Amino acid sequence: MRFLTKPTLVVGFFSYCWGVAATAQDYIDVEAERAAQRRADAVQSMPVESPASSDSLGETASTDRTAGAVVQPGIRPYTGATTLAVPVDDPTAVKPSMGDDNSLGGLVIRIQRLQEEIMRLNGRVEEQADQIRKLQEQGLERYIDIDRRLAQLDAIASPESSEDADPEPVDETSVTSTASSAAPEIGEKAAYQNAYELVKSRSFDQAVMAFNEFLSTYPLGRYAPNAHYWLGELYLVVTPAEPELARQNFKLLLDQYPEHNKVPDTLYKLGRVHFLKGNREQSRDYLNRVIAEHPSHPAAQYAQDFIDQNF
Amino acid sequence: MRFFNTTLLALWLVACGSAQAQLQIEITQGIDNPTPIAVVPFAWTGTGAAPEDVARIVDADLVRSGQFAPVERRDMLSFPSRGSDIYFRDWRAINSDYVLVGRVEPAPSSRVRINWQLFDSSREQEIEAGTVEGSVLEIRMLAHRVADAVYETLTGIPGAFATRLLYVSVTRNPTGKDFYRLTLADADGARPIVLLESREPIMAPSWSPAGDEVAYVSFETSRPAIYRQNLRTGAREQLTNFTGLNNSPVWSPDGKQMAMVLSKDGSPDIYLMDLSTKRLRRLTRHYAIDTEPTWMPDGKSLLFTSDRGGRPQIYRYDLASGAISRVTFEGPFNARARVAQDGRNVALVHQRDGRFHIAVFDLVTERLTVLTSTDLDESPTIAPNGSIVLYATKRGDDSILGAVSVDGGISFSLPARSGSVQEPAWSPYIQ
Repeated sequence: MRFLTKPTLVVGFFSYCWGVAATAQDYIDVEAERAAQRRADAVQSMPVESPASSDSLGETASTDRTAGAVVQPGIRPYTGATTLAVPVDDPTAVKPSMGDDNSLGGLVIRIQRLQEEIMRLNGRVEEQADQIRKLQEQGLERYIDIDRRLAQLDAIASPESSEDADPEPVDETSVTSTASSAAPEIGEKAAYQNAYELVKSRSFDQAVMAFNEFLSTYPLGRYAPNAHYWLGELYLVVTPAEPELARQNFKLLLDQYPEHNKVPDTLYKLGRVHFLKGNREQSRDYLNRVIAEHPSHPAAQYAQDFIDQNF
Repeated sequence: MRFFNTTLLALWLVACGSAQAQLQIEITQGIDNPTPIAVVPFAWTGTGAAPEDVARIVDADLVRSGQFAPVERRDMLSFPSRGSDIYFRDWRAINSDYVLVGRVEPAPSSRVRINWQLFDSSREQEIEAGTVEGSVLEIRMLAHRVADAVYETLTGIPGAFATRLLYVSVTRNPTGKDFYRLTLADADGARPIVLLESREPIMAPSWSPAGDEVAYVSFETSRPAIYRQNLRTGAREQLTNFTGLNNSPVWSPDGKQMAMVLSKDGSPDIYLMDLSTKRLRRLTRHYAIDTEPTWMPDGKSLLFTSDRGGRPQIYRYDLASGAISRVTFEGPFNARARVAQDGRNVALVHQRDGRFHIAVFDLVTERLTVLTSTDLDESPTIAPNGSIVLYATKRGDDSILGAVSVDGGISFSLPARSGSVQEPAWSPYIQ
């Protein structure tokens, strides 16, 4: 069912008002009729929803305002004695016909108006409550942020090695250790180092290309798992980010090299990638795996922090 | 044109002879670098012609997901059906990252078995393999299940190809009343079956959580009433016949209750019907319009649309406490919510700059993302794997089905060959 506002009710209300006003005009002169015509034009030119949203004091006030807005006795040039006593120009003359209408129809319409008024106010209260909640959250976030920065300043003042917030992926030691443990493959190592230098110089897009080229040349190479890990990381920092490609690379590393020393970090990263992609269940699964399978690895702590913050 | 005298023809499981309700799929936007995968024609080991081109169905499913690029058969240098027959160099030469091979073999009592193997052509390794078995009549579904497994292996997300769609197709009749057909089809639009045909409107179809029953609103008695219909037996039951609105039936996740909209007590409100006792419980009580209920997957609360705040917005009703809280705040109009199985993404109709778009609202981050650029989009429904939102939109005078991935990256449309298609409902996973 398509949801609609209630134009019929609004239109009905207006035709009702207009009917009352018209009966009051039986004895007025040409000038008053012209004023009434102007009033009608003004009513028609108003947006349909405005009566439901602009008045806050019920129909009496709305009628007063409508009449007052169009016919302003103080400003209007004096055109003749007769026009001064025109009932329709006088707010008090219209008011009784609206305010004192205690017929059933009048009451029903008034109740409907009040209901719409309450609905509108309800909406406003809901929106303001939401804004207050968001402001409170923002305030807390700001506080935490400032607190963190102050803590960093303190750390600089009293130098101690503090742990990086994000796990540094393949560090050079792990690369060199795997490299030195086997017969050197010069070309492969050079190609890998080349790609790695691009990461260090923060040329991420070129690094992505370099690692992909590396993998197509040495798909089964010694550094292939490291290259997959880097690609996973890189696909998250390039613009636009490619979480799906990141996930594929992490997953490949996990599936093909289950014993590799980057597996704990890879699990943690898979948790984050799935969270990014909106797969909360799988995200949670991976994060739990890090904690369960590699409890002493730093990635386990990152995973726990991430769970605490996001689940 | 002559029409049947009866206003209603309940056609149970009669395959739709006319192809007019059949949906076609046009991909309008895919991801930038879809993964090339070669789906080699599956070998048929039985006698006579193969009952169905299984590989073609799998290939079409994967391509429709927008994440895979097809490898044309004419480019294939050989048609292996087993891993041992694959020359990986051949597949690397035509830039195929993955190769899927398989065999279809007959099994006793008119069943078939499909064995499949997925290979990485650069690594020259088998990644995954599997077997599905079922009635030969359901061979298309078996093919979709192969596609589901391949999709999950390569993307990490379960596939939703072996699912079905429910929609209302409308044939306009300029000289008299329109024709409404409640239609059931495979998720790829194939095999449409008309469940109910009527000269009066059919609306708001929805699925039972097990996927074996459907509910809908039919005006066949000249006023709206809610019906449920069993897909196996065809048994049909009228659930409501109240004065005023009887609309938006939605099954609870446990299948025991149904939320619906009734206006028998005044303005439209949300009610809950116990399906075994038929007892009604009124959930909302407000002079505003409360409508379009939808269940959270945990069954503990419902989302619904209400204009109690002056404009239509999404609210949440907590069943334990009866508390009502507003969910959406962005924009003047948010309505017709449907919640993904993760309980996080909510597809809804959102108004922006006077146009009605499909958007996804994330209940955790409270972020709203508009997915479509067309106007007058309505009736979103989410695939059971949460990846695709299907909706109705306008093309010319007809309404067609559009589909967009939850991240907005992939879109395709499913126009009917003729007539209009509206109010899609994507089935849950079918056991």
